[in-house]
Amino acid sequence: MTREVAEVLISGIALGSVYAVMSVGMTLVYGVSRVFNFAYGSFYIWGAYLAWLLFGAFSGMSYPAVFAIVIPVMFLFGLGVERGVCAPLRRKAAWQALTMMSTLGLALFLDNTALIAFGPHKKSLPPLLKGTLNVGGFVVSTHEMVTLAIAISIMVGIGLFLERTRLGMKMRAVAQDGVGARIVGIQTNRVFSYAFALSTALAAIAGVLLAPKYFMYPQGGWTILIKAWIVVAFGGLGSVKGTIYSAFILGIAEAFVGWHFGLQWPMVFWFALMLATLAIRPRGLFGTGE
Amino acid sequence: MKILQVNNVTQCFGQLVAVKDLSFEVEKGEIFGIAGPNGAGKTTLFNLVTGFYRGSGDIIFDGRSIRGLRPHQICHRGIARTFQIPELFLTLPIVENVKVGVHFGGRGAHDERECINEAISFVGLQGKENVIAANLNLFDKKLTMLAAALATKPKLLLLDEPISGLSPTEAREYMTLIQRTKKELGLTIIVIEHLMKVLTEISQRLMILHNGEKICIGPPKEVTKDKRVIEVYLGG
Amino acid sequence: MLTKVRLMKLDREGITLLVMLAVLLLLPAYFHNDQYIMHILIMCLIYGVVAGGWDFMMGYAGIFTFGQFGFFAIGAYASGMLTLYAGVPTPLGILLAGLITAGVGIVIGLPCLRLRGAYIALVTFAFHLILVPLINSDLGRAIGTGGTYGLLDIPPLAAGFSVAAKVPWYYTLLGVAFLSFFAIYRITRSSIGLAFVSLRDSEPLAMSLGVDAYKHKLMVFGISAFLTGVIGAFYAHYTGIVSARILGLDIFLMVMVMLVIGGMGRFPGAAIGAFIVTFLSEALRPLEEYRLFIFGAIVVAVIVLLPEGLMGVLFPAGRVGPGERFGRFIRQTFTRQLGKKSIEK
Repeated sequence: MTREVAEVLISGIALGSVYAVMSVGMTLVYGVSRVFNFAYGSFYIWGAYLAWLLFGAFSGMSYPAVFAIVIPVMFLFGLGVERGVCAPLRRKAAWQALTMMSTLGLALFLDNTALIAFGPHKKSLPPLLKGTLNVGGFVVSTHEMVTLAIAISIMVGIGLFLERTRLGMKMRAVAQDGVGARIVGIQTNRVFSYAFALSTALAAIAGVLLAPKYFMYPQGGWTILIKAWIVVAFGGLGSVKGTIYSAFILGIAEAFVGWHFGLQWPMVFWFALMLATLAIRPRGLFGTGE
Repeated sequence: MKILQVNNVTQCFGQLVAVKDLSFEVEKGEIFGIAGPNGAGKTTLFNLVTGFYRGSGDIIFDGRSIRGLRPHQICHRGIARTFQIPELFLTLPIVENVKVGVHFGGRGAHDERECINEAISFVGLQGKENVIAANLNLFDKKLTMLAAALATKPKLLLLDEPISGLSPTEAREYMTLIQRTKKELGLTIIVIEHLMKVLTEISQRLMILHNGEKICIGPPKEVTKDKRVIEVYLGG
Repeated sequence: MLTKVRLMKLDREGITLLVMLAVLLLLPAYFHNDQYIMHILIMCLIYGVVAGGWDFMMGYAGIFTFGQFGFFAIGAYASGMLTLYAGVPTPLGILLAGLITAGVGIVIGLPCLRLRGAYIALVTFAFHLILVPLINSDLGRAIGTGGTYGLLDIPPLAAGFSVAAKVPWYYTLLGVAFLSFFAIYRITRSSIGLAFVSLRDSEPLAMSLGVDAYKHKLMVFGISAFLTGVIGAFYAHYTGIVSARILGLDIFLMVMVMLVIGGMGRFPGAAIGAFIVTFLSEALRPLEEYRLFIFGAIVVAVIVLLPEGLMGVLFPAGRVGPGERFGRFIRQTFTRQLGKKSIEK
């Protein structure tokens, strides 16, 4: 393996790990409550913008402190949105369409608030840790390694949450069978709220992790939304495991496509992949088939 | 004369085998019952016959294979069905619900209005034609589903747990309808129920499914005495 | 005319449409000298058709789509390019653009056939988003989209139809818009419309009763795309300029608000919404950057508070609303005026 190829591979893995974080959020919310959140991309960039605000406002800011603030704030924000917008709509017959449109409206509202507040120019965040590391003879940026480590810990954390905690198990129950869950006494409304809030927090974390390398701008959430959705569709709706595998595969693929063909092509690649997946294997790699 | 032949049909969902190598036949003009505990594969079987699923094996209807056909094509061949959980066009009135069956499923109906009225009065819903389906009670919903299915002038009718959720009087009415459908309209009928009592009353022959496999088939008297069946049902 | 009206058995939706037509026919009498207002009215008509086509797919046929502007853009570019480069006469260009867009609609519809609602929204939205970089890219420029500058100097509809000739344009577009809405109206009352509604309410039941889901879904895509492509083409010849600007999410949001305010699935709510929102948008223009942010807030608020939109307010289910009362008033006026048998309901 040449040096360059290895570096692209490692980059792809790091990218994939963050895609995993943001896509798991999407799988979670769709799997549990069947809500397609069009504002997901906006939550992603707002996580990054909040971090930027914190860095700007307080001189001694460090990443741990930033995460300690951004995560709960975005979690609560997600909770608020779910309660205020999604929950009331669920009573209507056309709730899926209405929820999609209202989250789309919300997305544009959030994007434009960001535009007003922060201006249209791309902004960046400082890297998590500066410098480079020597991994098995290859030089990689420390930032990417730390990102990878954080993302993996989050994945493990989510996995444990879903398997071991009561709320996590409730979420899985509701995702599998909403009516059955209600019969058993699970308060599905609360589960929906927490799933949404959790996914919002995950989106925000992903935003913070990717901002140092990929910059942020008010319209940046849309490609993220599309990518997260494609990752989920490719990996299989309803399968957290599938989403994670898919995220890594696609992260690596994107890194190579971008490196080999130029930066214009990754989006076309994503779109083509999406069409191919939907045409050939709509259930995705590990989909459980609804 | 065999109107339906199911030959070695299998349907898997991932690792779950819902229907395993199932084969059986249905005689023209009979009422054929299918029973079995929940999850035995009964509805999956209906979905296979009506083209919603596509498993392996072959299904022959009226002498021709219907393997791989899509639901609307199977409707045109002459198979109609009802659904376990009532499916209706909730924003439309009864008459429009039935009209869909007449217009899209009926084969060369000359007077649609007449066919619609026929179907509606056959099930006893006359007078309620303009009630919006969402406002109907469960029984009327099931009757509407039946009327729409009958409006497609089928040769074979598949009823998926038609009695569940009905009061004893309503259940009796529905069962009478089933028998009238066979007698007056000359249809062959396959009924899924998991209450054996209902099936033994109206069916000429019964088939018991368990875990996707056929464990017994024959006239009700024989089937109810079968050891395996009793085991599976624990006195159901 | 009156006999025809009786034969068609106008119901509340048909009457609403005719009332709108009557009002719109008369408006230029007051505004023909004001270029600005005439332009806004013209844009109302254009966006109205886009909203109408969108509502037809989403509100009526129940297919969640976000690709409407993609169709609009393709229609605009197709007609622009055909007339500009291939010298095709404009009316033919518009027709061809409509057909091309219908074709694209069907192609986009194909992967959506077996998909669940949210996926269709995703695919169509991705289609919209992909068009922008595609148009602006080198590939786009090679085909002739003009890249980021767009197409310029697109020939007008005919001599005398420059962008300044507001009144002729207005009436032409009013005709096109009315025909489009009328077509939708007729389709919804035909058996094809019944198929669409049946698929929306319960696809399994519809299929088991003989409705070909694939064929009908593709028809919805095709019809909606055709109408939107045609109006997109008219737009190109009206403004003379087309760029990827028309795919901006701000316009997208604006038309979505039209749907929501008018009432999704409540014909012709989309048309009413188009007028209200276009004027609202113009009124808010001084607020510049705050405009979109207010629109976003409006969308969320209207959806949560008034899910049935304005049509839901005018014609609420289960009681006699203001719309019904106005309709009766009109009918009474007609019968008194003409002394004939009343218009059948």
